Amino acid sequence: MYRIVGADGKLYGPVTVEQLKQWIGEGRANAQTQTLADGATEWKPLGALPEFAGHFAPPVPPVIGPLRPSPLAAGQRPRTNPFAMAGMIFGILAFACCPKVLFGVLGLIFSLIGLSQINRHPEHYEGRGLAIAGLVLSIAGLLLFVGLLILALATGHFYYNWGIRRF
Amino acid sequence: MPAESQAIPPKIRTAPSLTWFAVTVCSAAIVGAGAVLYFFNPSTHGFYPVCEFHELTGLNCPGCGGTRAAYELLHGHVSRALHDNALLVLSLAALAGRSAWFAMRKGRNQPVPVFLPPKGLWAFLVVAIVFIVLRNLPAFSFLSP
Repeated sequence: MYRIVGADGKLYGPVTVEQLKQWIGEGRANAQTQTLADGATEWKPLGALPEFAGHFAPPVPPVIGPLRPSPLAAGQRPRTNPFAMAGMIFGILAFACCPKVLFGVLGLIFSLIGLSQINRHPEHYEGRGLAIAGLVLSIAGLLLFVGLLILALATGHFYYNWGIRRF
Repeated sequence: MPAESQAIPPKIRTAPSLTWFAVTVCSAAIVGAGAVLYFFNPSTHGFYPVCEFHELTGLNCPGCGGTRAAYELLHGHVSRALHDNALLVLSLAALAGRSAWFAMRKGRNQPVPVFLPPKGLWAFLVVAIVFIVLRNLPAFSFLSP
């Protein structure tokens, strides 16, 4: 049986493991919720209890040596930066699809925002590879478009005359 | 059991995340674009944007035929859609499957991972590059719209 401190600061419980898991699922308790297990002498965040380990992202591995104060709460781990993800998606679209200019500019912006956020808070975010890939793909898409356009304008030959393939 | 055990803690309020904002905006855009697409056939209406890569090189990019494929899908012609752009149709099917799985997990209060895992994005990039090569080879012309 467990007692917890609710979001309103009041005491709830004692409840069973199943009930508490249901509360987690309903968003009434999370990894930071202070919990007192039966037989325990001190309150702990719910994320620190092994019986609820599967219900949250795995905790950050313990740091050896002097602890640096981190704003990351117990039971949380770095998550993929959403801007980096969006940058990668737009980058793929810019590189592989069209309109290249629109997706390329969007990919460039999102990737740069993602990259700067990851650089500023490396303990919060992962996804540097994604952001860099998004950046490279966006630039490649834009360069591809500019290059093709210059080539077409300079030669005055659009695809039909290139003889690559007729449709 | 003591009386206090009947009480249920309130839901923990979290700020609406960027993900939800993005999902809302994207959903609205998709519904709007779908409505236009449903009523105006891209094969007969010229106001749709053309693929500049196709215009400039004559080659099919991985997105070429996507508008026509989406039009056919909206009208229930799956095989025609597959012919126009197999990558788009299969990606949409994969996304639909993933969404259904997510909804099921959420409904059962089970933990869910990231919707689009980075590995999935990398895999999609590789598939898209293979697709652009294949659909421009004469032997695989059935992949071209």
